[in-house]
Amino acid sequence: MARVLKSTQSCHFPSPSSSCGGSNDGNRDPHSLFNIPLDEEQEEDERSQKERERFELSSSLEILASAIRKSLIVGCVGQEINLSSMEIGVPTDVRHVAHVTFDRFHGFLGLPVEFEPEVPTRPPSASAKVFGVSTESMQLSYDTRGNVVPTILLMMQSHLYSRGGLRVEGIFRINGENGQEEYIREELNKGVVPDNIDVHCLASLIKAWFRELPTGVLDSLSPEQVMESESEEECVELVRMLPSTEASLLDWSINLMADVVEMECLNKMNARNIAMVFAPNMTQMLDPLTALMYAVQVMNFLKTLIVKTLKDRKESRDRLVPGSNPGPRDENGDQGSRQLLHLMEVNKEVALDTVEVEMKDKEESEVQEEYAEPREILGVKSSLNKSCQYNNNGGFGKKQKGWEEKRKMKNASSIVGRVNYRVELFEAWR
Amino acid sequence: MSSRRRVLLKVIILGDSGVGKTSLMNQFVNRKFSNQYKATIGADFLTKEVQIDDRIFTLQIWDTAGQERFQSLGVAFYRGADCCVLVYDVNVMKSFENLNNWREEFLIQAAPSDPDNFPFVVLGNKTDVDGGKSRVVSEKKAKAWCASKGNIPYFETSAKEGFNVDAAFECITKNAFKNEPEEEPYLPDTIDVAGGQQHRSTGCEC
Repeated sequence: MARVLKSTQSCHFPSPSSSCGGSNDGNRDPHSLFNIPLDEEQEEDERSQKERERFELSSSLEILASAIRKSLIVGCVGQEINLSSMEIGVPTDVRHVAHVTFDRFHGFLGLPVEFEPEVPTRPPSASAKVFGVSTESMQLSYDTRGNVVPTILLMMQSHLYSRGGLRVEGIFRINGENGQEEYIREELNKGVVPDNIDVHCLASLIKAWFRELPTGVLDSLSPEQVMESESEEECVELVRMLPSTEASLLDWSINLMADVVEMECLNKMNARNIAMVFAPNMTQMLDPLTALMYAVQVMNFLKTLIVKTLKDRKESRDRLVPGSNPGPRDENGDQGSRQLLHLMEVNKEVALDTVEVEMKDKEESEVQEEYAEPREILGVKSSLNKSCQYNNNGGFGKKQKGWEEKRKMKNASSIVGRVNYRVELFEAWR
Repeated sequence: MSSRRRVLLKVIILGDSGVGKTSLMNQFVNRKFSNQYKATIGADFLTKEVQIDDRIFTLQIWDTAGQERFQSLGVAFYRGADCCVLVYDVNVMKSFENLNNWREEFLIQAAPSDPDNFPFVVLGNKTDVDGGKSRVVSEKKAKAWCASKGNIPYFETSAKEGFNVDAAFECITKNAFKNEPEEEPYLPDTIDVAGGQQHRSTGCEC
């Protein structure tokens, strides 16, 4: 588009609009220079003759005008460029290069590839802000399980993981530094994740993102419903009642929490702890005392879901690991097992140190059992590697891979329907 | 004031997540330290009777969650506090830097009648970690801050080893009591107020 315009300007083409300017501009020269010739001369002789007369008149007028313009420019530029000697004929080989539209949500549509570098990259969300805005107005991407979640969350998650955040003691519990948090917030709003930032800050910001949503992820459920759901089945039933966006966000966050718990030996965050620190951020309540009391119910609800997720992961791993699985998991197999040895050593030490204390607490001992399972840790590593890889490569491109993995997980089947719908939406944007 | 009357003192412990608020309280009340890593749900509270100079005090210690969501627990939570204990981890700089925020937040929420003289006590916890090698906040620095905020008493503690915990709580009790008598002349039914608080406490515990 730009090139066409440039060339027309440089040779002072009389009406530099018709190739790309859209139909509205056509009024001034409805039969612009190149459309008219060769058309329907036989049938409508009189008409065409009139038109040709008009055309000749207008074109001669335009040539006159351009000559005047030329002389003006020559006057300005000086005699060095001898433009007046240039012959300007009727343009040939004119084609429609592209039809480009722009809107604030999707940016440029239909822009030729060669022009793309000139376009500034999109901010991470349509609203340019990523905190405290509804997910409806944010740019969305797919996580490894096919959940549609705001890109900003995946961005923060991948940074947290690649910086070893899951190995840090008290991750998601320890407060971030306030000053740095504000700075990172500003950068994130601009679409940049700054280098060398504190992992506790990133974790705090993920919690803050949930806390600052206009409506809490679990707000559509009544406190009574949450309170009454004790068994795993009841909790899963409750999750099904959530609207699709909230269900996606919850599923993403539960899996994040499960990732944390799988590294409990290093970060000391068991299912109860991580559920505890997330719970107050999942609902919006004005009165802090009511929120405090409700947080306990939400904590139990989240904990049940985390434990279920860990169980499901273990089951699917048990199914996959013994058989010969030529899937993408094998790419990391080697590396995974090496890290496994290291991790197991750490585990043993930690387990020996704390086993006495831990066994007093029922919850803790439940999780403790899982330590003894070497496959568990292998799976953690490979799934971690994968998710990092996936996220680093930028969500959407690897969608297919994510989908394959998702299909393997039986409990994710319920969201396929609504994800499909989202895919259509998302692809329409592109 | 008869010495038989029990005085109920409400003490609130504030500070960042993971600095050891719950551990300090457990060490003081139960003489126990647990290696368990356990985030506090909302808030717990415990009571303990202490005898100082032939007087018996019932300390009602409110242990709060350090989570951001609960950083301002509201008027109802802080109201009626007789002393506020600010805890930081001597190995974590930001937990020290946040003391200022905690103090200000408390003064706003609790709105004590005389904010300049409201009793605070600052505890620098976890002095045992790594034999003191990983420590980043010096005693001097902490004391300087305390001095700048109206000579707040300062203690270095280790909840794990029980170091200085009793001394700290004795100071907390005395300071809380110093704050208490001022209100007595204005409140003829002091015992009812105490009873009311007691009642509320059992209600919350369920």
